[in-house]
Amino acid sequence: MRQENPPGPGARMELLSKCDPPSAVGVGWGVEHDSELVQATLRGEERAFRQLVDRHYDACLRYAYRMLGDRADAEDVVQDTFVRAYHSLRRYDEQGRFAGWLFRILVNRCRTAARKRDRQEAMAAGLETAGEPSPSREPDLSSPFQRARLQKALASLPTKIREAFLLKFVEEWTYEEMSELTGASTSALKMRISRARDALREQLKEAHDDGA
Amino acid sequence: MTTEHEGSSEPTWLAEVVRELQEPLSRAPAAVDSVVAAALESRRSPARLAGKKGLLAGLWRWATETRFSLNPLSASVVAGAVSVLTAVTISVIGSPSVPPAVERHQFVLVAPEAHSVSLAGDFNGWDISATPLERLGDVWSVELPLSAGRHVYSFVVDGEVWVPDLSAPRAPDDGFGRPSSVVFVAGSGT
Repeated sequence: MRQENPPGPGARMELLSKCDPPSAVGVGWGVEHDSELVQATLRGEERAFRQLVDRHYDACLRYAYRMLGDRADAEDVVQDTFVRAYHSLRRYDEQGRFAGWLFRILVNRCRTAARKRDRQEAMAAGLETAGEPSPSREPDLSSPFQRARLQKALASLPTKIREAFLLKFVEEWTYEEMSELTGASTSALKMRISRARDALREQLKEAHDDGA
Repeated sequence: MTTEHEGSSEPTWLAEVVRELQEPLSRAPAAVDSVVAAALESRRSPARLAGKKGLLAGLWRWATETRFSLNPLSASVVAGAVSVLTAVTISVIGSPSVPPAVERHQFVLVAPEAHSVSLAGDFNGWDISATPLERLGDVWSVELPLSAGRHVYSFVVDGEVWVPDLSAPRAPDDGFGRPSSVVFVAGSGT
């Protein structure tokens, strides 16, 4: 619930320091928190919305690309996400992280896009042109071939399993946050992540080195 | 990495996978400009959520960009054809039943502790200040004209707490994180 009186300067700094790092990079006087940018956008300040987009675009693009495996599709989904967010800013609850609210939209848009298109054939085609396989027996992601192989392995995962893996390991959300984003229980998410790890390990590793 | 993982230390292969996947993509030139422009442009177009390739977007473009040019004879022919088609349609189907444009619907919330209650939904642009409810004792209510069809809405208590209507079906999660309910307003023909 909102405080009865606006927080003073010290409380403001304390509040900002508790915010998620992406929203509070370089926190100090003059740097606006996401919630402030949202309010400014609702007042019609275009520069505030531009700052929100700039601040969260890269993380959204990375997640969308890893989910969909196609750069153009990812850019379309990210744009769609921000447009939807723009039209729904009044529904943003400032008690939660703006990044979490935004990612919830992004996750749903990616799910919709993934259902529409099957990217596995496209990924396989990309793999065939990526060059010679690395002679290393260890997972080697330094070559374009191996990076393409990783993306192919990722694309082969069922959508919700791939989604859970990316949210946990790449975007580093907590299980509680992931549950809010996806609507799935923590136990279901843990199961999906376990399956993702097993599947990726099988597809990527040429030699077992766990525990070595 | 600061993620928490089950079990013991993270396998080497997983760490390498995560490190690769965490690499940011290069941002396309003017990407932010494109996004902002799209958002502002969509605000001016009723097909804003249809997607760049959506049917509604295409229809909007056709309606706003196409310029027809007919000579008087052609215009007469078109008008005549439309009239004949309309007459045939009516004779085959009969007098069409026209559902009422709106139907008044009452929304009620029991909230004795609330200081204010408003209604937000697809019928008022989800504006939490557009439709305040009136209080009578512990009961808050408002009556609204709604067009026939399905509507999604929620109560907003004290300007910040979103509360679904327990007397109505819950709307599916639409990705915005707020609980909402569904009301279906039937037309007179149904």
